[in-house]
Amino acid sequence: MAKRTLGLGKAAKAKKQKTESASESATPVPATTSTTTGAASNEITVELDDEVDPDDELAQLKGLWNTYLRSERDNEYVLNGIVHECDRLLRNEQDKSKLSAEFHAIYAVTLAELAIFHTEDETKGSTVKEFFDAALERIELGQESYPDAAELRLAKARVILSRIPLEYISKMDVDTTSKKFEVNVAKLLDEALESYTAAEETIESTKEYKLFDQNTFEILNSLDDLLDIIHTFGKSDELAEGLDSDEEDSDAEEEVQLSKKHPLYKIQHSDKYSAWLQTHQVKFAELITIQYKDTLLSKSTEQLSESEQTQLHFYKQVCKKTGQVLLQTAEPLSQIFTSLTYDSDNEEEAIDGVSASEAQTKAIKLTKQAVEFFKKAEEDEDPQSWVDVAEAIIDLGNLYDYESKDQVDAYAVAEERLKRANNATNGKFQTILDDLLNKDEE
Amino acid sequence: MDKKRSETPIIEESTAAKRQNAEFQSRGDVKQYFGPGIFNPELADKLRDEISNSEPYRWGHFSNLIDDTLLRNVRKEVETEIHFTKKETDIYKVHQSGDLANLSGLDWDDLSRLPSVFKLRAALYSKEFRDLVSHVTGSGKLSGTKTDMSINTYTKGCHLLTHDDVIGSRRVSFILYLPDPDKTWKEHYGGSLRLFPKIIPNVPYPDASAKFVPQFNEMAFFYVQPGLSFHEVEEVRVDKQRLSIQGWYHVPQEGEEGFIPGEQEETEAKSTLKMLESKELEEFDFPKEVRIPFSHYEMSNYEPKDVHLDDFDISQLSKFINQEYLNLENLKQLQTKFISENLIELDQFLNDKYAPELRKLIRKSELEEIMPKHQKEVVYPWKISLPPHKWRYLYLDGKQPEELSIEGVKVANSGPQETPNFQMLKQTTDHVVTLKLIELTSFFKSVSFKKWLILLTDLTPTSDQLLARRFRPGHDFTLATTLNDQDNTIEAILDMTLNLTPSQGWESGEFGGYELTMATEDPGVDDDPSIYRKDGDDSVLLNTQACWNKLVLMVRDPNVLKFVKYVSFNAQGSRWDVSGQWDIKQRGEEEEDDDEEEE
Repeated sequence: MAKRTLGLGKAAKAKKQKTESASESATPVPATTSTTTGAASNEITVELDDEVDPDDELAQLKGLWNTYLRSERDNEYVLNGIVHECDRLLRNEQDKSKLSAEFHAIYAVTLAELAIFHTEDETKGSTVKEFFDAALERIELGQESYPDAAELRLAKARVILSRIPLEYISKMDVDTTSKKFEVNVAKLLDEALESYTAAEETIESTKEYKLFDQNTFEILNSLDDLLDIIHTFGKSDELAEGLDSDEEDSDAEEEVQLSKKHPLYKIQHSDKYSAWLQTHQVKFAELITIQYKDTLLSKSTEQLSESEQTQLHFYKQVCKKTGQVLLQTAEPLSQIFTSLTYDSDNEEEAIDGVSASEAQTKAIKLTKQAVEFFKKAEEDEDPQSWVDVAEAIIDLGNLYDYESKDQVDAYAVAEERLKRANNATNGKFQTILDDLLNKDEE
Repeated sequence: MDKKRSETPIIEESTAAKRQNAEFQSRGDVKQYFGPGIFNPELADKLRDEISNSEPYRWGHFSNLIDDTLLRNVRKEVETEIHFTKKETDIYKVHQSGDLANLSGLDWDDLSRLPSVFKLRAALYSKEFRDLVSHVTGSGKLSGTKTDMSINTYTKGCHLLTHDDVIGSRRVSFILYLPDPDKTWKEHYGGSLRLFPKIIPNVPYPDASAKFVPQFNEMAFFYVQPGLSFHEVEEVRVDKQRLSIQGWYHVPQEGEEGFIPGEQEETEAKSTLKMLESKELEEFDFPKEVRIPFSHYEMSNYEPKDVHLDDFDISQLSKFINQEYLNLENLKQLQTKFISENLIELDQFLNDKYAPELRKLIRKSELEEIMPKHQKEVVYPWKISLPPHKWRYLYLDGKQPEELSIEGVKVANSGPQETPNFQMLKQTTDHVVTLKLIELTSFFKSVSFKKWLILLTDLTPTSDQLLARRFRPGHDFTLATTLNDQDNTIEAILDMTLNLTPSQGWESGEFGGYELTMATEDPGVDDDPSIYRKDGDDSVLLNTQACWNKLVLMVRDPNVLKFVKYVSFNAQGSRWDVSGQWDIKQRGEEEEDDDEEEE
């Protein structure tokens, strides 16, 4: 019997010498886990929902799309794979009307997603525009068979919301004018929101709440991102310094006033869009709460299956986002209240036609609602989620009358949560906590 | 050779140090590059007095050192002209100035695109300023021909762990800070310079005693002293850029004023890296790498050819280990794999009765209890490792308390030499998580476990060392070390890590806490083993991210390096594990040798 080579280092060296002469692709690091079989790196595992028939081709397609959705989304090959699969299904299906609305929707959003990988190829043939055109054409084809399908209307909203920044805003600068810009971005945005609203109505009336999933959630997220892009358009982002920046820094933000002729001016100066987002974000959260009420929300964490845990995680994500959107909506009102109440230089009765007490009432309502959503998003093991609640409660406290019982109570509740989170993270929230404690002393 | 820590220069002298053709000589106009009052003799004397009394060693700082406009221009040039490359090793994570012309570093001979940087260098190495630095630090004359500067930027998560800067002829270290000039750099951003006091030379305490929070146009500097000038760059905790220019003043070179023949060689001989290899300092290593041999009586359990698990063993093992790994058929397959690869990773090692409860307890203690941040807050039976330029973490070793002082270390080394006893350690605490970890660690010392280990590895353990470890966010790490094989007698050992990190978010390695295993070339070859590329580097044998309930077992030979990467302040919790090592012999080794002789 040959004597055993003892030692990982020696073995790797021996193996390396061997593999160098044999194959270049072999790796000297054996990193597979004994209980599972490691898949080759260019293979992907498609996860299917528990209840679906694995031989169902559409289910497989959906599984493939979901796999992409849950991945880092940096693999164009997966998208190309979905396109090929869609083409194959199209070829094989003689009666095109038998392909479901969902099939057309997946095909369309995949095409739109592919555009992200081709933003630099204007000269190489396949342009961003072509991908978006093909996506919308696919939706139209689908709508010929399924004119009222919610899936297709959602897909349309998604494609347009992706197209606006990628194909249009990317070509603008601060001097762009509506006259010279061939596309009416505001109109396009309205079209996307109308399509979403129509789908939402269908879902409500048919009670097909399943469609309120990650895909639909992302439509709302893209709108939020888009509004943010439009509101900050033209501001230099020379500082790659984000989330941890202090207030001191945000004061220094340079204000860029867009000309009235700018294609984005109308959207930037309208409250319509953020109000739309708030309404539909809240509706989304409320409807998925109904969907989950008797299932995962009635069980303890230990009782949840793996897929239910994933759903619960998604539910909490949605609640958190909804809390954020509500706070965003409350913010201008809070500012009006604070400015009219505490700013001694301000002798006006109202700002933008809103009085202090009106602003206070509306902002309190929104912020209370936000607190409730942040509470739903709270996780036992995630101190950041405790802080989200605490910060919303501090915002609420700021809106109550100075030194009122409501205010004192709100600060006390927030302080308790912050202290616990600060300890759990070894001091990460000390600055927020100090600010709050200073507030108490003021 | 006691190669506990390999010869890893800390930010190498290498490419940045250049002999200039012409010395930076006295120039009439050089003072205009500096801020007002820098050369005021009274202020200089005051600074000199402060520095001579400073703790933990001679250090100080200048504020508004450089002319404001010049330094703002320097910052602009750096931002627009210099490309930074992120580098990560066991000791640092930093963005270093890569290249203007080549990849090996900033080309200080071609600064044509960096006129302000050029002026700055001329100013910093001018005779006027060198003389000032020499005066205030009491360092003696400084070289004007050997300049040595590099540009680094520390972004969120970047850090440079404890070291003393002693390499070659370095005499004074300096760091000129260039964060955003229009904003205050706040303490909670991190990125401060922290200085460590010493127990004895070459052995710093685990905690820093002085700290400098950097601002734009401030320069911190210290006298480089072998075995004393230990310092670190605290991790930057937030999304900000802490840009700095750092460098050294060297001892005068041959032909320069103040040159002393042999001085450089003498300094080099005292370098920490050399001292780290000296035996006498091992006394100050805690925990020591000591595997206690098993008694003859215990060994009789492991020596029979057909070791098998009896009912008692099965009942003991079943309390902890996943049934899948107790099934003899499975064990046989795992053994085949282990023999061929010298490595095995067992997911879900602890069973689903024991593991969830343990996970919950550890995570709860992280969230609800106060984490010890300083040495004095660490409560026995937990201990803190020493010295901090090698490692810092908390551990349970099953032994008596040790006091980290000269006297305490003397007692630890020359007093009673007791062996670990985790069962007795249980009596010293009522802390639930600690008790649970003691129970688990003690299990690895059972005969039943070691019999299972034989069935898995087909190797006989002859001695062991077990530690339960905790690597706290914002504090802990181990630098890359090989096994202590002074007598060159070890062929290989069994090395185990049971990963017990209950928190999430470690997969990318961004928050550190991963355990990296690397191959080195043959021992004795001077290379730089801690510099590695994380992906695709042949020398990386295994990279295990901090995770829950995964056992990694390997046959480790003496030239294999291992380290646990510094755990970021922003990690969601600590990295926890149980680490075990066993000396081994091959099964039936003697008989086989006999057979060979007969042939």
